[in-house]
Amino acid sequence: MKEESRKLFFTFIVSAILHIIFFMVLVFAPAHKTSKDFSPSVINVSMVALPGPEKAPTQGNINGFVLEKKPAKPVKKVKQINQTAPETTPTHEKDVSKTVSTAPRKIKKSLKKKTFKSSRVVKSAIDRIKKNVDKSRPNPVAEAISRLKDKVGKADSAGQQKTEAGTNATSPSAGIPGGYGGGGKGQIKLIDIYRAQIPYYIEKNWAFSKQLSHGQTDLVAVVVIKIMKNGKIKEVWFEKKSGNNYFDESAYKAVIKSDPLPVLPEGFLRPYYDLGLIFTPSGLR
Amino acid sequence: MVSCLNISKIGSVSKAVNSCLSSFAVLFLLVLTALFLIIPPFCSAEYDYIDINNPFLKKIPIAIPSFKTVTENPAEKRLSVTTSGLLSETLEFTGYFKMLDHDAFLFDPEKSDITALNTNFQNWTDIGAELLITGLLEIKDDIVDIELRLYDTFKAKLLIGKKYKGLINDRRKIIRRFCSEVTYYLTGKSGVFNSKIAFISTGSGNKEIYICEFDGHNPVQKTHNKSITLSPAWSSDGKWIAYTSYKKGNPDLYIKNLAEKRGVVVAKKGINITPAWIPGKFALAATLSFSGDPEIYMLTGSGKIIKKLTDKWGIDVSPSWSPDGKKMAFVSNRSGKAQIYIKNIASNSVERLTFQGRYNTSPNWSPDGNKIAYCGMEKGEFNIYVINVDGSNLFQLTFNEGDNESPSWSPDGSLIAFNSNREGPHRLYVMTAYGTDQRRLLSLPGEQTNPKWSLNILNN
Repeated sequence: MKEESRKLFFTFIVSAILHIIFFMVLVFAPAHKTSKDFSPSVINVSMVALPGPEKAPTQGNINGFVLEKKPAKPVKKVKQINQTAPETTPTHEKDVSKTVSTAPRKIKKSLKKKTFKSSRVVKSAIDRIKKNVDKSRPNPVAEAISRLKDKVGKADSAGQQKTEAGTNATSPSAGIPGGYGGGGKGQIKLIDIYRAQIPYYIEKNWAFSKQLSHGQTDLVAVVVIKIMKNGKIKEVWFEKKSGNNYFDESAYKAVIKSDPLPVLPEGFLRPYYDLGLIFTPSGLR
Repeated sequence: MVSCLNISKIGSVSKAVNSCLSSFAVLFLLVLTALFLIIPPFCSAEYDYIDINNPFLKKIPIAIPSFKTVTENPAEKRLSVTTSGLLSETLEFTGYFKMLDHDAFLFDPEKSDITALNTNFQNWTDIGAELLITGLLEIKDDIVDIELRLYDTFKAKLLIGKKYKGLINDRRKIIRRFCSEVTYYLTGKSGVFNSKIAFISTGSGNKEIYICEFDGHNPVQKTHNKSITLSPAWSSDGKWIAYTSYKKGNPDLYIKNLAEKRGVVVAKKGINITPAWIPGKFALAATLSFSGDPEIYMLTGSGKIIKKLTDKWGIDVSPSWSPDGKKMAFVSNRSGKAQIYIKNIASNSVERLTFQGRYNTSPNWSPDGNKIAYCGMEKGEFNIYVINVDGSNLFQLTFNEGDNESPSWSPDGSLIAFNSNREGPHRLYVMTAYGTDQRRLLSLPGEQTNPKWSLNILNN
């Protein structure tokens, strides 16, 4: 009896160990990674087709990520806009109004005193027109950033409401930048904003001729890159090739040219960020 | 009693051990199941994915620095600059390449060897060049040696290396040949470099046929009829050209051998117009109206009628053959308005291709056999369209730039020549098969119309 139970116990232990090894191999071996459904994590590229700096963003941009943590504070929002689009700052607008309101008085005065200078009038008129143009011209960078901030704000408030209305339990990973899967689908994290920037940097360096691919628009290549904290691309490998050598090479070159990418957001918990780039020529006319 | 107690104690201990083991096993299985359910979703989310779908540059960035010279001879230096410039222009014509500005170069290959051993490719990748062509030029009397190398800068790999020797005046030929090599390496096709374009020009005061090289270089007047000459058509081997001329007062069909100055005239009653050679054969289709109704006939290269290809009341004109010679596109007004139809020669069936617009003419079958370019009129404006041979995927290539007519595919199907009055008089233009890079082909006095691109017919 004792012998049997001992045998049973050892058999069970061996079986359990083998099961653990099997599941660990199944789970962690790269070849067995289950392919992810692409569509839910696809980000609209047009959102980030922004004019931007040639090189990776400076520390100021990183601070921008930090600012995104508290989108409710309007003062920080203005700071963010100042960094990227000085011509649309509120202070600038104030200056415009001042100039406009005082200009006619000056002209009257100078005419009476016979000190009217046509060049000065022309100059002030040009300034006024310039400022009006600046006021009326939409700034895509500022708009995009404020749009992203709004989203973050909405997501945060929605998350808070849910927590308040729910069981008072907060997910430990909710709101943690760089965490995977936590916080629910509706929550936009800093890494999401970072990810939204990446297509702009890659596409900027992507040279691909539709002629050379003979007009094929159904090509798909998936390149995975390992981005280090400082934005350096450490590893590049193909998860899937398109079958068109020219297309695959153009995608690879685009990635190499884009190195380094912007630094990862502050507070990102992992030492690197693996990102899959799904290259398709669908954006070509 | 004691032993009984001991036995019962041992039995109860053994039961306790067994129950402990079984509860441990159950617990372990539960934990394992929980891990099995929880871990995979975390692991499958290891990558995030984003779409990259809009390349900023639609061409290949390539650097072509001035060729290195063997000596410091000023003539050699001048020739090096002009020849490297010619190479840049010739490759740029294809629409595949974006030439990088010499001012952006970080390194002057003239000061070093042209081989990969002494080339720091990072100097070229840093400025965005994906390809690099280096050259070495040497003049000996009136003979020139040109060594050309194409590199992939990212792989630091030699893709093509060729050394040419020829007369100094043969530089265009040498450059054309190397460009064919480059294009063949990248596309699998030899490109357009050995083709010619025939067209009509009024430069002499009359509509005469001219022929120029693929890039508009070296235009030569080929007919001197002092009359109206129309619709030039190349034979597949480029040795024959057919056209219509009013030289004798009537629109007659002329079939001429370009080199030997011989040929025949088809001068039947009525009109003898719009010839189109059957690919790979010494035969052609043309519209003849000797029966009273303009129909398309198949003729031998010597002008004898083989058979009637269309037989429907109404005007049937402008035939254009599929590359395999099994189908023929043509224009007919059988539905009341000019539209494009496709005839299957074997089955004799005819299908209408175009339904959009009320006036569609000048069909030209693409070399890959999949598309037909044509001229369509919408809102009083003529524009170039491309449509799949099954009638799908209609695509307009020209917009709001005057009238654009007579499209003609390049032999590799990458470019389309056409005439347009966008700058006043009708002139010849060229664009990519996707409508991009529209530019004027040449500048000549008078008006130029009716371009017809030959196959690659030049002998290297």
